[in-house]
Amino acid sequence: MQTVAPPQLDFESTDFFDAFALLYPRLVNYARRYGATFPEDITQEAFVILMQRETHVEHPVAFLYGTVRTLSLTEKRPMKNQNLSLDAILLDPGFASDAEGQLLSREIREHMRTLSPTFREALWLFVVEGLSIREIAGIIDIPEATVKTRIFRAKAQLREQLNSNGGVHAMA
Amino acid sequence: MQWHDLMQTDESAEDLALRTELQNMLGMAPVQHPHLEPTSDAIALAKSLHREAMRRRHTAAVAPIRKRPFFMLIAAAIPVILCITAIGTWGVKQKRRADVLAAKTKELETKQNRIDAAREGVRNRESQPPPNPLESEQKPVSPNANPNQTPSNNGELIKPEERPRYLNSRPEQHRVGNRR
Repeated sequence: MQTVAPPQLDFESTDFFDAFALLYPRLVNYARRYGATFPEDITQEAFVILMQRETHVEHPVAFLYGTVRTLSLTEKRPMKNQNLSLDAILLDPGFASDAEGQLLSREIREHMRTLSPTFREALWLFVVEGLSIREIAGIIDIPEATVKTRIFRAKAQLREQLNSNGGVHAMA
Repeated sequence: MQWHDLMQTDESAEDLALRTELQNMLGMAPVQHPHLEPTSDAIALAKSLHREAMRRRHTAAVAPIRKRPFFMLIAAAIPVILCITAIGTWGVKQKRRADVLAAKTKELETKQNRIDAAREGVRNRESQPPPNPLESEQKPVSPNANPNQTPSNNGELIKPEERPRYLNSRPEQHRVGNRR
């Protein structure tokens, strides 16, 4: 049985330039969210790594997000043996991006910060970045079922907090 | 595969509903990423990134060799090691040869010195004048003779006289022979 090699991505087409124009600012924001000092450099590096690959990439968007995430975390962890947790990064309010400030109200942001970083990350990618469950699974490198579980738990926690505060989601 | 297709997410209705529900809960309007026309700067950046990726891909083809610097170092060191070993072996051989030659030279020198000494002795003996036979007869050599002592008894034998001990006088000499 002969296997057909998947077609390679075309990085010189107009489609790619459109996708680049759309994805580039989103990825820069995403890197900034992880506290990257040079988010643009990280985003460019992610694109170069994608273009450099000779093997087929099934989900290029997820690949880009995942690379940006890894590079941002690596930048915050200059020494390999330094155990810097995701909590330390995502819980720091200083790292919250401008996009988050524009999209979410202050109260909701406060509620989101009380969520576990792993739940918050999945929620952010799903709701704000608009990525599919499969793509998020590829980015965080966990099974799709786990991503779904995290999103549902995040939703439950948020609902609980909002209800205890007297139904703040009247803004919805 | 086109990028246009990749940007479309094929999500189930359930996932879409979940997203909408969460957006409502968070008070967010549905996120609409605006379709941006790529600017000339964006296109130039994308092209330069592509060039960089191609350059790295080309470099990666050479990388497997660079990944083994230890073996490369050994490979490069082999001729040097062989050269040093060859020179060392040659040097040791030359030193042994020089030692053997030096020992031989010393032996020859010692032999030559001995011969020279022997020749010198012979030459000295030959250069001395031969002894006069008459002179040797006139003066017989007496091993006990005292050259300073002059004979006083004209060749006569004298026996010292025995004297009693109480006489403190000089012993008289009695002639033993030729009594008249």
